[in-house]
Amino acid sequence: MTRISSFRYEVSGLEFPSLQTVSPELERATVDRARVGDQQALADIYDWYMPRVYRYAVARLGNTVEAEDLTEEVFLRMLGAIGDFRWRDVPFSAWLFRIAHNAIATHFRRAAQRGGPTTAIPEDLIDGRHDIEAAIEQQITIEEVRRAAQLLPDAQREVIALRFAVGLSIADTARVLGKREGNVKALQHKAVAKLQKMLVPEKDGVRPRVQ
Amino acid sequence: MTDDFERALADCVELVRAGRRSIDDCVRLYPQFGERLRLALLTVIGVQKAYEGVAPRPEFAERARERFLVATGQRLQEAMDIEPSPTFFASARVRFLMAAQRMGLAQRASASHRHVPFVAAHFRALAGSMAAVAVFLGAGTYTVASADDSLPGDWQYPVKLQTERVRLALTFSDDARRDVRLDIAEERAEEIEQLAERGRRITPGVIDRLVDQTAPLVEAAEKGELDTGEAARLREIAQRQKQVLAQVAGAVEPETQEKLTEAVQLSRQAVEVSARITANDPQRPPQVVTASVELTPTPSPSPTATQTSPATPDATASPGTPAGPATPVPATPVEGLIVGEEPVVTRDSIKLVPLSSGRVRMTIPAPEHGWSIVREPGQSTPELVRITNDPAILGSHGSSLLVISTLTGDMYWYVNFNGRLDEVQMRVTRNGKVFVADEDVVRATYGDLAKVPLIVLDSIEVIQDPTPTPSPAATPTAGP
Repeated sequence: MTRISSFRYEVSGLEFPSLQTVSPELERATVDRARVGDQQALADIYDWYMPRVYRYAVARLGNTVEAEDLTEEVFLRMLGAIGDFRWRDVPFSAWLFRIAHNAIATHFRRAAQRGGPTTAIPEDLIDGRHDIEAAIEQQITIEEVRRAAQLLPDAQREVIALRFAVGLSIADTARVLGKREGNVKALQHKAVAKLQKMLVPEKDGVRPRVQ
Repeated sequence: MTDDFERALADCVELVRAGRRSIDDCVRLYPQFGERLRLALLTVIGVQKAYEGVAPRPEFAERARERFLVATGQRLQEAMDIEPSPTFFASARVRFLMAAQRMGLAQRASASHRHVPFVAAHFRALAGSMAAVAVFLGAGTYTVASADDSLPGDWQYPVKLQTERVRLALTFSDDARRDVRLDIAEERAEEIEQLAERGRRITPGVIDRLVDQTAPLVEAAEKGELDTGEAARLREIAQRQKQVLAQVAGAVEPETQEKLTEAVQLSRQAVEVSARITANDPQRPPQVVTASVELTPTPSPSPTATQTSPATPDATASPGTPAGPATPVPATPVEGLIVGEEPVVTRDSIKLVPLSSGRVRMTIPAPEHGWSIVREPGQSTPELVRITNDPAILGSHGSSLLVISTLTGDMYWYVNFNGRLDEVQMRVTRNGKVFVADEDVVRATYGDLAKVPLIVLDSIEVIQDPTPTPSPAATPTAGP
């Protein structure tokens, strides 16, 4: 029980971090305006989703420089495609992250063709804090999560990125990945179990450091 | 068992994330998984919290957003080039109704005691519902295009300003940035002109923007960062600004007056510095300086004569010396060319003698200052009076030729400036309106050489045509 209470302390609060979203009604109205080319609506969509797309790109690529490029590419692709977006197919967020998912697939394919490593380990991964050493002692850092996620199979890493970096529902994650919901649940479970092993303190109360 | 745990975990993540259950609630909901479920949920929260710390660099976020906005603008432009949306006309109508509504509300606010007519109230209600329809139809399709024409106070004006900021942000070379800044400074002048034309209020903010967006150009000019082409453009824009500001000077509210004075000062500074740059460039071609300041006629003591004065009459007049001739303006055109023998007035140390011919009357430098009239043989009343300060006309730096129409009072000054022959349109009649050269430009460009032309310009008086005709040039003068 000791280790659980200590971990409870470490995550400093048991609520999920809030995922900044807008009301479905506003999103729908805005997307509809964007579909006919309203620049302000497109700008609103960009503002709402850009941080999440970026976070998704970081989660998938583990590299902030490539994540920036990819984020821009996703929105340009969105611009080219939004006229064809239809509500009856998927929710907007699932549609957008499907674009992101495809962009990343293209990115990996190109990187593989070039033969270079796709995820260089950066020193500047942002975690919002300056005192990294102290922060690591207190809670799971993005650097640890990133390193741990790199050890997951790609399918699991993708689910983690969409579920926990972006905040999509199981259903939307399944839509983005073109998988069944049950499949996503299974991948989520396996991924969480592995991350837990790597990130959560063992019996002696010391959290293993992911190398 | 594994499948059950997967489902339990998936359910609990959703429940906890939605704030509908705590982790403890979930563990109680699935007692068979106990601490295993608790740890998994804690892992999920930890991972999600870690990801939440990931944020794009502010510099990246800002630049990427601007690039995106430009891309949206380009896409919009492409779309419009191909086929205008059928909703365009509907939305244009809605915009009109919304503007009407806003005006109605403003009027109501300013005169709340007034009875609002039944029809007007319904009109506003209609406009409101049309606005809702506009959103549905996609009225925003043309936001950028119509924002380009918007004025301060319009609902689309912020879009226009944002588009300008984006243009600037996306322009990287200093040259190109200056071009954009020049465009923007010109746009501000045009907006003020249009606000005035439509009788709309000119707020201090409107003038402020003009100052804010002109000042960097003046600064660049003073640092010598503008090439001659850019300086020439700045000069034109600043001249226009000056003129626009002069036009609205009488109409602005007291709170705006101070800003206006500041703006006029800045525009004058811009004119001067840019004129200096263009004049002194050894590589520059000969130039034409156009008359840009509209002359406002002042009431004349004689019903048949119009006495005119330049926009800045105090700039050339020495204290104590009258700007005009001592004798009253004759009510009828003068036959021949009459030049006074004795100086009637001295200005800037130059003795002046009167000259009358046709419909014009003016003062010109006395012969002792080296200026002489070029006589036109065989004409009692010449169409043009020519005055020059050099027998070998325009052959060397500083030599000048003034040409004045005896019909309209229009005046052109040709001057050899460092070997180039410039034409300065000192006074021009266009569509019945009289425009004179911007004195700041003329002085900054030609320095002391401009002294005599400005004095002569200042003294020109034209006898009004007694019979009203639209074009004075088409009316023949009296006499043979």
